[in-house]
Amino acid sequence: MDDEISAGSSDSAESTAYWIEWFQSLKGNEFYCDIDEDYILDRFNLTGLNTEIPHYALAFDLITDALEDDLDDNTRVEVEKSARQLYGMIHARFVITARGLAKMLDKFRHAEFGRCPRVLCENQPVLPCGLADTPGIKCVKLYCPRCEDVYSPVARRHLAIDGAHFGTTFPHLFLLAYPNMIPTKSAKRYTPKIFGFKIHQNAKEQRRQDEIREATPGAPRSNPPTTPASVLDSP
Amino acid sequence: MSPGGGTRQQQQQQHPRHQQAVYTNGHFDKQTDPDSDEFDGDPGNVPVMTHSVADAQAIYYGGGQQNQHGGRLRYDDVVGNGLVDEANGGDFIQDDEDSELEDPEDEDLEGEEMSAEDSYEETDSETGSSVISWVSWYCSLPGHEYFLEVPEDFIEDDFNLTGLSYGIPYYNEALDLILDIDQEEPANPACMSEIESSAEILYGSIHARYIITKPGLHGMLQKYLEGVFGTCPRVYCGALGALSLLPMGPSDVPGEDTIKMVCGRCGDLYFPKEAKYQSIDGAFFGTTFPHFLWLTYPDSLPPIVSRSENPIQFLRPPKMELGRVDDDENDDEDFGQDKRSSSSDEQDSRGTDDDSDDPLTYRIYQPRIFGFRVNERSVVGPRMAWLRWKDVVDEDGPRT
Ligand SMILES: [Zn+2]
Ligand SMILES: [Zn+2]
Repeated sequence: MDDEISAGSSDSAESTAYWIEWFQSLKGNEFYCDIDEDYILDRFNLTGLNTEIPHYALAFDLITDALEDDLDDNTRVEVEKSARQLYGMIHARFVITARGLAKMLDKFRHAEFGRCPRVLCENQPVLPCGLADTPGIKCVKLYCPRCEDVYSPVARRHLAIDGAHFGTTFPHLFLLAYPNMIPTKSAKRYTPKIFGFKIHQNAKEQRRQDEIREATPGAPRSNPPTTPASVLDSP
Repeated sequence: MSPGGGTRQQQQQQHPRHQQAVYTNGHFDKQTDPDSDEFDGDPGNVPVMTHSVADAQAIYYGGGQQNQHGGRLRYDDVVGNGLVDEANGGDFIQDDEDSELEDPEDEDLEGEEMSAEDSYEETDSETGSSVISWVSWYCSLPGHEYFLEVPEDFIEDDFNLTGLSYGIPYYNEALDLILDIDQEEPANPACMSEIESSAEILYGSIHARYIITKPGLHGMLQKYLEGVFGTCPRVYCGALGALSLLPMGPSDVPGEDTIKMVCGRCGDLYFPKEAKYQSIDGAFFGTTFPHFLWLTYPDSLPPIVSRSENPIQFLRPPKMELGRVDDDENDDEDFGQDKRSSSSDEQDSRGTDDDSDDPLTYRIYQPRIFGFRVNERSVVGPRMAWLRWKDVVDEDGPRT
């Protein structure tokens, strides 16, 4: 393994990251940040990936643009697939480094990951999030730092992105690293009504929710009750 | 066809312009118990609801035309008969069979809608009468898929329109336009666009009343079961394409707020996924409709299966999930070996241990850093789990 990698890295040390540029430009891949080349070339960062990914050495060469072009078509397709998987798994490790977090901060500030679909989150930008760290299980989800829930991406092209390429840790480490990005949380919630009346079962549930909220350290406190004008009242 | 008197009455009172009167008549003032403004499902307790609930139950139990089980619509029917696209909402979607999840950024149909309206006008003036009725045309416009076609006799019944003439300019002309009645003198072209927008508001207001009648609810139920309204964007609601979304408006007054989607599982409001729905007036569906539909057809919502737990207890560390007691093991499996792929053939039979894709299990997202639950005292610690707490039904679910 060591031989393979060092061969690949020495060849590609000076090459520009063409494959990465191409990968980044694919529609749907705008969630990924571009991994620093020296991060990829540091073997330490790739520890353990060789056993997870088929055609590891060839895929690594492809990512670093060091692949000899003498593969038959079948192998090439497989290597291409492995390269994406490899890039994604390196990505999951890179985005929880200081450099990676900084790159993702830039994207988050521009709301490049989209916004929370919840009405009361008022278009809060979201963060990509995996529900599993093992590849091939779940597609990427979106974590909203305001309501602390996970949502499915709206665009179909994002449903093909593996959640493991972002990982379960990323959004929470991100907010830990940039606590000023944590939005103010609100005790506001939707109260369903039928002909203007609250629904009994639901009102009971909301009272329990209030109890839990009061018992949660740091949870938002309810505002003084306002006149019941809208279904979007504070409790 | 015309709805029962009780239904009409509640519609009248429900309408926003009458609400003021209801309130000032002391309807609310009389109630001293703060909890008594909740509808508890007992028809006798809330006078406004009396007839409509009776009606609703008549449909639900006696309708007999809903499905093959003599009117009882169970969730299993919904999932089992292919009405639910199981791939939708699941992971790694391969094909593009469903346009509903298309990228909203790519679609901006407002312009198209305008031109469609123009073209309707053209056919109308050229031929003297349109080929299809105004209502059918309006409901077939792109972005109007959520609208039900209100039958002519409902619109023609003056009683159903009570109170609507107030505040709608060119009311009579707009009503004639909706009913495809030719004007004796053609309207001033300058007024035509105003009449058209009045017709839209008038139709929307009638629509909001119609969809809470027996046939209206039934029509909307069909749309719901066909998947027209889609799945909840929340991961733990929309798994396996479970249907739980209905359109609603945060206000019953036209022009105040746009349409929102309400989820019957998490009970929250969401923006419609597609941009073409985002500009529809919410009052055309109203605040009551979705909850009234679920009340009328309780089996149209997937049952929420989980073990009941004391909320305070479960909030105490380390437990955060609302899942089963052995949740810890389940969660760890997510991080350990790929259990699901080895038993992927079992995924659909609800026997797998992984709750997250089971549409019946209600779960709350648990943040983790390097596999460890985030401490609730951390700055990023969970603060909002209360919002998703639910009084879960302790049923004899698929697995006990
Ligand atoms: Zn949110
Ligand atoms: Zn939901």
